[in-house]
Amino acid sequence: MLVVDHVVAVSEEKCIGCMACDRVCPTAAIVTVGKLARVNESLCTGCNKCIEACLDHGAISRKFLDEHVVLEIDTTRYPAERIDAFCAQARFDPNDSVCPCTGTTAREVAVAIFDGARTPDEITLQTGIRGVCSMWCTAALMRMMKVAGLEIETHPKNWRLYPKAADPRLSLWGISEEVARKYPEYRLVESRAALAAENLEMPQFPSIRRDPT
Amino acid sequence: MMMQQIVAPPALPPSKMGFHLPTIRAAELPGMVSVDVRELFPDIPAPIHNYGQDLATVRRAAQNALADVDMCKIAPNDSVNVLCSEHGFGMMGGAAYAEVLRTVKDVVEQRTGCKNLRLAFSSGLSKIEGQEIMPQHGLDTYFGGRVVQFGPYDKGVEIETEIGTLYGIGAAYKARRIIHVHYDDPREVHFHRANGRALKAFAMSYARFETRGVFHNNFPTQSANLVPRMIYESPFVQEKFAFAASLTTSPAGVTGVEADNDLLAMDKRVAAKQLRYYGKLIRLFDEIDECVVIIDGHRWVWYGHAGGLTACNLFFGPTEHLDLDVRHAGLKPNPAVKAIVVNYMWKQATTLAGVPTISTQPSITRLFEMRGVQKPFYAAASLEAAMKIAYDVAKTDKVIIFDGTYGAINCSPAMAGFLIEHAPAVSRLVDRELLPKWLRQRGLPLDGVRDSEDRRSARPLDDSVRPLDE
Repeated sequence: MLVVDHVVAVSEEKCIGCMACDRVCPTAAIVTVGKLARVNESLCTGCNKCIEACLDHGAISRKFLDEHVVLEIDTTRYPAERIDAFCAQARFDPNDSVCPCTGTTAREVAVAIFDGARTPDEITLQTGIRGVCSMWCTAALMRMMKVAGLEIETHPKNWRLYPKAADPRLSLWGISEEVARKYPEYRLVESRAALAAENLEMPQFPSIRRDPT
Repeated sequence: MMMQQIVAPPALPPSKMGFHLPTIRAAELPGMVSVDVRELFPDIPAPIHNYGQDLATVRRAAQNALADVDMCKIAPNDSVNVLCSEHGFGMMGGAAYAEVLRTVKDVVEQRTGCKNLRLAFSSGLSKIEGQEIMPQHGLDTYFGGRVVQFGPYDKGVEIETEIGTLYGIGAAYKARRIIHVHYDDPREVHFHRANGRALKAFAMSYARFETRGVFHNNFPTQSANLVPRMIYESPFVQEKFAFAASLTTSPAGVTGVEADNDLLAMDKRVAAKQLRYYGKLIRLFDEIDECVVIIDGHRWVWYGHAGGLTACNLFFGPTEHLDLDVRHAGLKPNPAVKAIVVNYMWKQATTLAGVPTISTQPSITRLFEMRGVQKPFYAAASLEAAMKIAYDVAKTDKVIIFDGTYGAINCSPAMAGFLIEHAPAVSRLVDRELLPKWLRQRGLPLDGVRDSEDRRSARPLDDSVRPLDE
């Protein structure tokens, strides 16, 4: 869950239309039209990345809301078995938090996808995931989107997300046998053997679930 | 062994982020005391520098370390990024790390003739702190304005590796050569397991958030350091990589500087020191049976120091992170932490799930309430009021303060007594059983405590790098 207590506002006098802000906005809430950045407040989670991107010009500031917006999703509308089966394919436990900032669970992301969310932005606005720093949850979200067959599109002129990072090879279960054996100091062979038998639990981050097949 | 008068922690610099500096520091609470880490464990080496002391010793140590580095890869006309990370400035007020950076610049310029060095400043979550930290240490001026700060969401650069495409931050690599300047405190040992600590920055400090997530989500902690290893060994990075340097420390303060053209070799030396110098204190923290934690001196909740160890070393005890045979290390928040008082912070408003957390000022309260994940949570009007709540919910008088202090642990008398009582048994356990195992697991030499210094022992020792108390 994320409580949005502020959005951002653009100073028309200071904005030079350089697009630095909309290149980093996780939800496309700020878009440059002509030579001016414009904010769609209903899409803004108050993550402040645009404010940092605009430090040189100082054209963006926080605008606190009279009424806070709560980003969370009801997870009781789908059978637990369906949610569990989906999360298992992404190797998550449904109850695990996949976003340290907001506590968003794998279950919530699954439900957002079941509800029809098709983009990272839509999932963010339904669950809060990625709504603060995006640093640790992005790979988890991309893993779940991959399982759902959802392709992440990105515009060549922004850098909100890089889809190749969802490559399944970038994981303990996806690396080649050759790589696993080549670097024994990281105990990859042992970790993979353990993963075949049990879930691998981790501090602060969601456990890696054993192969569902 | 004696409890001592409280040690004044490093001062808190004001922040543009709008957070008020605390009215009083935790060390000013009536009745708090201090325990000298070298009285707890006499084999912790005497420091060459601690907060507020002369930096000449650090400079000489850096110069000595850099003397062994081959800099022929850097040509006079090359562009060079000196890569540094935010957390190094959270150690002892940051002056020692800043001095290493200045020394690297001076030595490289002198030896190579290259004047096109740029300080490339990485920070986690956000990047506004670079605007505060670099001027605080005069680094923007020292580098002639050639500074750049970057965060995890800045424009990426594809790095083709043996396991696939990973993403660095374009600004970090936007130079013909790079120099990796780091530090060795054992923060997040629950992630890196002291098995690739000096490499981790390549998957974290200098990487896009997608790649940081791959490190944390897609590999267990025993294996995650494959990710920075892949980046470091990629042709893209190897083409640019000139050398690495690291500020080395112990719980007592700065012990020296390491440097090497081969980051893997430097990592081995840093790891050996880390295990020898910090291992006993990490193990002693594991012994703590109940406590109230006060966070009072760092931007991040997790990374304030007490006796040179970060709060996260306590939060994710008491399992054996240093034992590589232990797969499931640190799964649950440390049950010994009964309450957390947050007197100063402004990044990452999370502590430990289920542990009562008490804020002492409205700006901190707002951050925690916005995330809505920290329960139970209390808002207090002052540090004194917060402590009353903490004592009430925690039912213990053992208090430990993470306020940035090296050399000593500021704490309550009950905590001091506990640490003093348990230190001798911990010391024996580590000496006889744990340290040999940790070293063996990493292929590190069982003897030669100061192996890297030994390597340079043929050179006359400059007086300025002698330990302060010798």
